[in-house]
Amino acid sequence: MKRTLSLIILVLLCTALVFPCGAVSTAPRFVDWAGLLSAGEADSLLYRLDDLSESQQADIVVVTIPSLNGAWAQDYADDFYDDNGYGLDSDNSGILLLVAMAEGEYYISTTGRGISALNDHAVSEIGSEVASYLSSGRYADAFIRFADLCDYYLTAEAAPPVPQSFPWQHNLVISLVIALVLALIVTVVMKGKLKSVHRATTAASYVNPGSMKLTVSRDMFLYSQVARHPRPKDNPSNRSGGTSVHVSSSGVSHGGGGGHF
Amino acid sequence: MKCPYCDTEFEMETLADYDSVLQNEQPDSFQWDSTPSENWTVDEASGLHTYSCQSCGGEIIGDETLAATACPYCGNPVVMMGQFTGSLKPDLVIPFKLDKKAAVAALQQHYRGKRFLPKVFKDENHIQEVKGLYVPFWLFDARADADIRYRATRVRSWSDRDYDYTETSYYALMRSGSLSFAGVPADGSSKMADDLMESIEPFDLSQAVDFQTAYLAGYLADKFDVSAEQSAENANSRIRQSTTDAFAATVQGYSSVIPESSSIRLNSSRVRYGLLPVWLLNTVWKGETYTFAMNGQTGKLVGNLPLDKSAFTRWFFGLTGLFTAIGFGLSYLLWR
Repeated sequence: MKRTLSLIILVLLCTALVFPCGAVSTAPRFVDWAGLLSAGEADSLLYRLDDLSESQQADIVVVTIPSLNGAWAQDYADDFYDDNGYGLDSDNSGILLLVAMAEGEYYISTTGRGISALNDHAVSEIGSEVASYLSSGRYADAFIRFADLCDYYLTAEAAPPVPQSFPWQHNLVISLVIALVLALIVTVVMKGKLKSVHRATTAASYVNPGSMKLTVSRDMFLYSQVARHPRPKDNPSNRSGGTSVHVSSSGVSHGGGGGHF
Repeated sequence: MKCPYCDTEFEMETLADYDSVLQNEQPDSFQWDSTPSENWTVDEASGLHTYSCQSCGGEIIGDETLAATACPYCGNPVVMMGQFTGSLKPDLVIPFKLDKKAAVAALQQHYRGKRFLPKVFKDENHIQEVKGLYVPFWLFDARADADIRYRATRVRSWSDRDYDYTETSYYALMRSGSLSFAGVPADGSSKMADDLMESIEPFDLSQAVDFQTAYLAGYLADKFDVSAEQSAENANSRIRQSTTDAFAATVQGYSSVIPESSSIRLNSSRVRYGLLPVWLLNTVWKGETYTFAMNGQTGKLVGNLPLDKSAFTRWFFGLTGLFTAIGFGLSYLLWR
């Protein structure tokens, strides 16, 4: 009996060593405090989120709450992520979607690899898709779509750059065109050396040095016109991959963005 | 005051001021004071087309263009005054400073570094003729008085949160002043190509001396057959351009400047008649005559040369191949 007990303790200790605590999230990846999904929907979503998180080595989390109670969506989402110990690798990588029903607000908080995978443009893309589902009340679809999009962006980020073969045809044609233009310039310049007879158009070399006298030099202001053009609202530079990052109350860097539905 | 059409606002004072500027404008005036210089003295004009050599007494009969040559009997340089009978006596002459050898050497130098010059042309190099010639030039001295008005704009732009602003300020710029020119040359010989003569400029008139027939000895000399009035057209356009350029250079700091009106008038103008030294070299190649001219004072030699078309083609394709290889090689290195 004593032997059996010590064996069980040994097995438990080994298990604890093989799965270090830090690598396992303490909280579930779907927290439905607002009670939006049925039990069946919740189970299948949780299964999808767990599966995805393991394969991507980044926690994909969905949190619904009845109300923010006056808190900022960004702070709430960041703190929820930090306080519940989400994040699988050393960077605490993960993406959290917070939905606050009373305010009709959502917020996507990114951490670690989640920040690099989702730039501002990607966050707003995901946000607008999710918001359109949320506003029509299709909550399960919204969260599944969120998981799919996170999967897509994390995969794209993790994928090694596709090895390209040397585009020799393309380069040869461009080299040839540039070379033709350069050769033409050089030969035309060389040809121009053969011609040394030109008409003179000025008498600049016959000006008496210092004879230029300016008796009147007046700059008269007449009128001015101001034209104004509205500045483009959507700064196109964001599209190419800018990412805004802030630091949460617990000192962890988060990215992300949110909006209303 | 507000424009009823475009809502632009003007200051009353500015308008009045601008109006007074507009009223003071004057038309261009290019008047040359071409009072004739001295005529030949009776003494100078006494010898006609036949000439007795002062040294050996031999008789030389020159053709119409010949004004200075060497006596065929004794080699003494002579000047045939008959050519100048009835025309103006030159005011000045710039004596030749460079001799025939220098002219031939300058031509050799001229051939150098020109890869498209047919090699045969260089090697055969049959210079048919080398002539030292005093070319008649009209020399224009004048002070150009100019009143030029420009319309200029200055553009300033700034932005706030919602708008980009562009402010365009319009200005009227007035420039008046003068610029003086000394000895703007225009060749007075119809046989001389104007572009050839203009290409060997400039001549340094500070080295000019009062005309003496002795300077002509040993050289050919032409007399003018284009009047000062006819040549003036060319000098005028050059003076106008240089004056315009000089005043335009005083306008700075604007985004755009457009001349609106300009009035350039010549004052205290004077035309002088001078003989300037030019070496002329002729060569005939493949039935075409190539003429080179060298400034007998400064040694500047000009003249168009024939093009070796096959060399041009060779170089063009050779360089294209070379540049393609370099570009392709570079693109490969960068790709790696």
